[in-house]
Amino acid sequence: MSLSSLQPIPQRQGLPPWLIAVVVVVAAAILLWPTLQGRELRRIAAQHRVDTGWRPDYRLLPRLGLAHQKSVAQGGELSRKERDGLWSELEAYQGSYPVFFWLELAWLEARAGDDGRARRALERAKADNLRLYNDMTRTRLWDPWRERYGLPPR
Amino acid sequence: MSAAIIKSGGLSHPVVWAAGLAWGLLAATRWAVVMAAQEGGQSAVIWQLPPWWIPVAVGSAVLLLQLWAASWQHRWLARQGLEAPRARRMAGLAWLPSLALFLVPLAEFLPPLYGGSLAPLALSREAWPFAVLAVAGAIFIQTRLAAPELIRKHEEPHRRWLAPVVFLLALVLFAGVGARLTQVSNQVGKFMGGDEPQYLFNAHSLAVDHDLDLAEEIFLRENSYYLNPAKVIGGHGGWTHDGKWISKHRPGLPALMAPFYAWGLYLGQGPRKTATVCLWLLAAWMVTEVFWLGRLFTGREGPALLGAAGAALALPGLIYSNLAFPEIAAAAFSVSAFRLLRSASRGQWGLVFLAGLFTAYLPWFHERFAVLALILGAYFLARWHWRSIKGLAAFALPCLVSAGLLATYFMWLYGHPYPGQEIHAQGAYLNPRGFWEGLSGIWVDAGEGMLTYGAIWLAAMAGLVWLLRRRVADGFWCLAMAGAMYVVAGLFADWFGGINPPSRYMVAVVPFLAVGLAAGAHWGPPRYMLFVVVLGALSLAASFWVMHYPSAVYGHKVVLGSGLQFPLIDNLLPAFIFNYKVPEVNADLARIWMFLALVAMVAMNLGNQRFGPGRSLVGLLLTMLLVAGAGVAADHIGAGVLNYTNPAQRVVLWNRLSDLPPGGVVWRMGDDAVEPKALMKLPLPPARYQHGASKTAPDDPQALDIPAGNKPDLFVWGQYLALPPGRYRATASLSSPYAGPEQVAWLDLSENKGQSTLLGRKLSGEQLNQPVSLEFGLHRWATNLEFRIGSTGLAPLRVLSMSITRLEP
Repeated sequence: MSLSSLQPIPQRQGLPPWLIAVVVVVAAAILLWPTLQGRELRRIAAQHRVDTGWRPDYRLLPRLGLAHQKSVAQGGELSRKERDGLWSELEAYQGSYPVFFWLELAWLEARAGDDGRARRALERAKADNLRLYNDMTRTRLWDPWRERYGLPPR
Repeated sequence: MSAAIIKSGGLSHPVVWAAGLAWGLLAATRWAVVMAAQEGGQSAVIWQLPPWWIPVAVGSAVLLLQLWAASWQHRWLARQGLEAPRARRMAGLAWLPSLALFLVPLAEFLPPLYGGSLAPLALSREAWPFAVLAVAGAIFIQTRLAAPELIRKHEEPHRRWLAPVVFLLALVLFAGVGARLTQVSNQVGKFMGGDEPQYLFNAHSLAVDHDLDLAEEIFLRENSYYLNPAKVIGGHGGWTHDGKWISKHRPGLPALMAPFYAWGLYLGQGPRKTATVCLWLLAAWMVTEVFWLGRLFTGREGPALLGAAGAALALPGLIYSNLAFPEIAAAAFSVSAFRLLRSASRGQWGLVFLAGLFTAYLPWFHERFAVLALILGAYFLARWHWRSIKGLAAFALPCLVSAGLLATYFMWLYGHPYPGQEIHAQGAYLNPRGFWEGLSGIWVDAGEGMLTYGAIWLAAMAGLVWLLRRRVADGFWCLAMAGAMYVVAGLFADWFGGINPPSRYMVAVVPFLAVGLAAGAHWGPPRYMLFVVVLGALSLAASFWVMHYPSAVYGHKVVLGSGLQFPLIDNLLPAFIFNYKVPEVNADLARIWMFLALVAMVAMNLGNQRFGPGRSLVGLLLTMLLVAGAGVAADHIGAGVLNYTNPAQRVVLWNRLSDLPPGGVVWRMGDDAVEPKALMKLPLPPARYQHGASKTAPDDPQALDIPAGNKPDLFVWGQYLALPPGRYRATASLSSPYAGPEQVAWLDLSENKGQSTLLGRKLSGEQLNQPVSLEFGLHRWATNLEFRIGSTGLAPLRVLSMSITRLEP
């Protein structure tokens, strides 16, 4: 019994290879365009939400997204006014699990070089949910400040 | 009836008249509504009959229709060149399979009359359309076989435009499924669950951060782009030694979805919708590959189209074309690699290289697909592509590079080059409850079985045997691909998947089974196509029903029982996922139906192309007796058809009662004292519909506690019932420590999601010492009806039970 019987295959005919290659390259470029925006895509998506007044009860989310992207793009720089705005948004936040957003705010403050406010935001995160605080500060994102802020070891 | 028809020679054959009697009797007995009930050891069957003239008129009409069809059939055969006496005889005998229809009313009346099992009654009442379909198909086939020169199969020239058309049709179909799912998820909330959001989370990270570390996505709660923002997910991840939060789900599917997902973010649209376009493309590609492979094996386009249609229209492929699980991608990649290896001839190294790339990518969807990659590797060897160094390099190089990268990835994640047992939901891969559960349940479980939702796959399995018989190599390798995934899934502790529609792990098997449909249609006897028609109709009915009510296939439910009201589905099949307490019963039920499936597979592999209406009749009778026998055995072993577990069954029955024309008599078999109480009462456990500050009672999982001190508000609502016209009583049992005259609660009945209130009642403390009721009548269908309870906040309340009882049609 042979398990490999080859059947005669009719000769394949199709479009010229160069045409296929051109179509594939153009299609791939179009398809990949938004992905190639990288972290700028985070700003674009968050800005869409801000522009359309998405979910007033969770409007903090796109604002944090915009601030995150700005901080990354500007090497940590984020104006005091913008950070103040985030603080007041987060103070007013009534939704679920604020611990993550306090940690994000603390990270933005630390990157902006404001140790005092970063520590205060970390305290708020710790007070909100100690378990998640201990777990989520293990991220590499906190490595530059781990010792300085006395964060749990990785 | 015209004189021309009466004079027609075809009608003078006695079988035609006997067949007419069978069709007429069947039609006349379909209008009754049957209720079976049990109290203690006594049981009764109550028939609600329509006025006598309706069955007589319907039966006579069907008889006339049958005579007209017989006359037309006789003339058609005469036109094929058959001599007149022969045409008359053949045309008459072709109706012989109709006599099997006598078995349907017999199965309904005899067992209750003689105190036998009610399973044949239940099966006949619910599944008679499939008996009709089978008999009609048998008559059609026998008529065709009477003129055999009409059914010669021949090689057809391949039309190059057909494959793109198949792809586009499949794409449109899957887009339609997507539109339906979007419509439903907007209506009843997002029903996406389990691993789906985690795969999308990874796609988000790849699209935005170009990495797999989900920490930033978690801090910014970017799952809110496709889930409720209140919900936090972590991608089912864990920390690596270098401080990255990495999902245990592999990046293969997210990497494919990421560019599509990114378009959603870029345009400010739902990125899940755009990511789903990727899934549509993968699913349509899989269907096209099935078409190509079917055509390659059979040399014909018709059978290949049947295979493609099965892959596209039957579950699970239909719904998984829109779900962000890696299964549909693995199905597409594996069948494409297989087809490329099969069709590549010597020197076509580009095709082999492409097959190598697809094979190499498979384990990146999930490590279990490495099994498929290994079999594809063996197939590559068996096809002798390795005899040239170019061929060897074309296939092996991508596979080796991929294997090296995957081992490195696992080393980084787990410290060893393979994933450990701890990544599985139950902490182990092999099923601790025994292997039969998964190996049989994956086919015949009431809630999760592939055959339960897609009976057509039984014909596909039989077709694979035909492929094995006629093309040993092709059949062997297709069976190897399908069998490997089946065994890998069947042995797994969570063989049913997680929170997902049924047969998730069998999606990767779909293309290889679907090729079996093409093979069976090409090489199988006419009987095979009869099975395809009946099983296909059953599968299409299930597909339509799931598309009508898609959210119900989430959360491990037996959805078909509530739609088609098949007792077969609800009580006669095993339901492993509901009932771990009696695994032996489920295992025995599975044995019954697996045996029946085996017999059906054997039947589909026997038979010939000769005219034989007697054989056809015997086959149909045997099939019906076997199904009824299996039903009786399952009824005896399991909970039984009288155990009405599914509340939705009652609504279906009430609908039938309201559709029944009034004026008929009630005919009862069994004990006079037994009433169908369970069928008339629809329990609405309060705890299931609790809202606000109410909590499930600590000592009663069905009851509900509403604390005092809240603002007056509704605390129980949301049943959203569709009730047919009729008279009803809504009853609630409440208790409270306060027994004074002040109002403490109220009941009401509302329609259209609370937009209109039918009636209501205020309740004081002193009225709570006994059940309180609201009687109401519906003159038309009520949609989104709710039985609601509100509290004034004056005193704590306990809602013990709630129900709606149908009083009369």
